[in-house]
Amino acid sequence: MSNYYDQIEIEDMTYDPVTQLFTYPCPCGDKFQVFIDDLKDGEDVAVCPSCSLMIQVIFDEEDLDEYYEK
Amino acid sequence: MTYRIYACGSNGKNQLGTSDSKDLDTLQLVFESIHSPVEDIIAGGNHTLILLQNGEVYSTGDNSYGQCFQSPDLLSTGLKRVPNVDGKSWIMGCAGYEFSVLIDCDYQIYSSGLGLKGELGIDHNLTRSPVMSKVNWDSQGRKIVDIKACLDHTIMLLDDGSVYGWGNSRNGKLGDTKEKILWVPTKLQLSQSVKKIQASRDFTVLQFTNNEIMLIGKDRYLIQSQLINIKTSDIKDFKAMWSSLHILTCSHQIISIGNNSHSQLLEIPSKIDIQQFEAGSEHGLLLTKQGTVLSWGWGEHGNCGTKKKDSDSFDYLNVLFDNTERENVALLRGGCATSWMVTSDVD
Ligand SMILES: [Zn+2]
Repeated sequence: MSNYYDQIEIEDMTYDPVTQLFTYPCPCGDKFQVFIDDLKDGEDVAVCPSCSLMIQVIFDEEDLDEYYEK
Repeated sequence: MTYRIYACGSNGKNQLGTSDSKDLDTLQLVFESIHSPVEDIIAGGNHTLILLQNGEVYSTGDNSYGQCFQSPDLLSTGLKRVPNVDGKSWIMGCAGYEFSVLIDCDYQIYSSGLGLKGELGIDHNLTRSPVMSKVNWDSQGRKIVDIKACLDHTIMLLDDGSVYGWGNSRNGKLGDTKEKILWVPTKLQLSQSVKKIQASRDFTVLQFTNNEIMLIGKDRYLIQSQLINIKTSDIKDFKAMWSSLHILTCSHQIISIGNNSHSQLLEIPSKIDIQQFEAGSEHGLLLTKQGTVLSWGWGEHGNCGTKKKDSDSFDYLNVLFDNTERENVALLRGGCATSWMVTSDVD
């Protein structure tokens, strides 16, 4: 937990079906991002391309199905 | 009299208004106002508005969605004047992640930018406004006292103690509503009159006229339950970072509650006489009685000044500006990993 800046629930993130990315605003001004397929593979960390902060995404695997349908 | 604005921190979209887009870890002069004091510095995700007391507004930074109120073909800008509508002075404003709101002296509200969750407040299902557009709201003769925004919601305090809000209303940060989005200004259902407001990422903080503080919205860090330890008569001021709340007491102490992942809750020694304090997205700034500006918290982009240790977490008070004989610090503001200071000449 101490490695993460914060824990964010998946329904608070934004999903873009085109890029297949879940994103969430980072306090640096950029966005944390993680691919839906990475979450499916068991990854739960979203990273920001502009800084070192990371968030842990809180979700159940079955939560992902509704996003795959989009 | 000359008023000077200095800035440091995250600058990838030119949000500091410098000639290039490099991050800065020392305060740099970015704006001078000879004719008017600075009323406010309003920081969005990657853009900034400067409001002068004479009613002029200047903007800089990411304008991809028109959030700087500049021509939509300018993707990113240095400091440029925002036009006044019908010659009316701007008196206040706020900004969220990718949108901005300005209010004129007749309490007409204007917004621009991108707001997928109703952040623009202009109309139902209206998510983009690359140019300044009027928010359809009838003040019914009441005055707007304050307006605050964080990421994706805006709240507005009126002189009758009522609060209106719009934007993302999930998890109750705009009061009890079944709607996930409030597309236009909507009155919050509150049991008491409000005198002060603050907006944070997941929540809104209200202070009622009896001085009691209430947090509405998602309270992941159980802040509300820890507020009971603070005497309401002892509360002088309060500010919110994105995941913590900071209360200045009448005895000049800061009580901090919430996320401490990057030393956001640093204990401020009681010997420091705090004159003013400010919260950025995840860092804090304070002005001492001696005129020194100190910073703490998450400072990866230079927003807390030059590092004294090999860490982006400032678990110590860092000197961002040392008192000089020449300038007085008038105002501090914190944005998304940005820090702002306004000075005036010593007479
Ligand atoms: Zn970041």
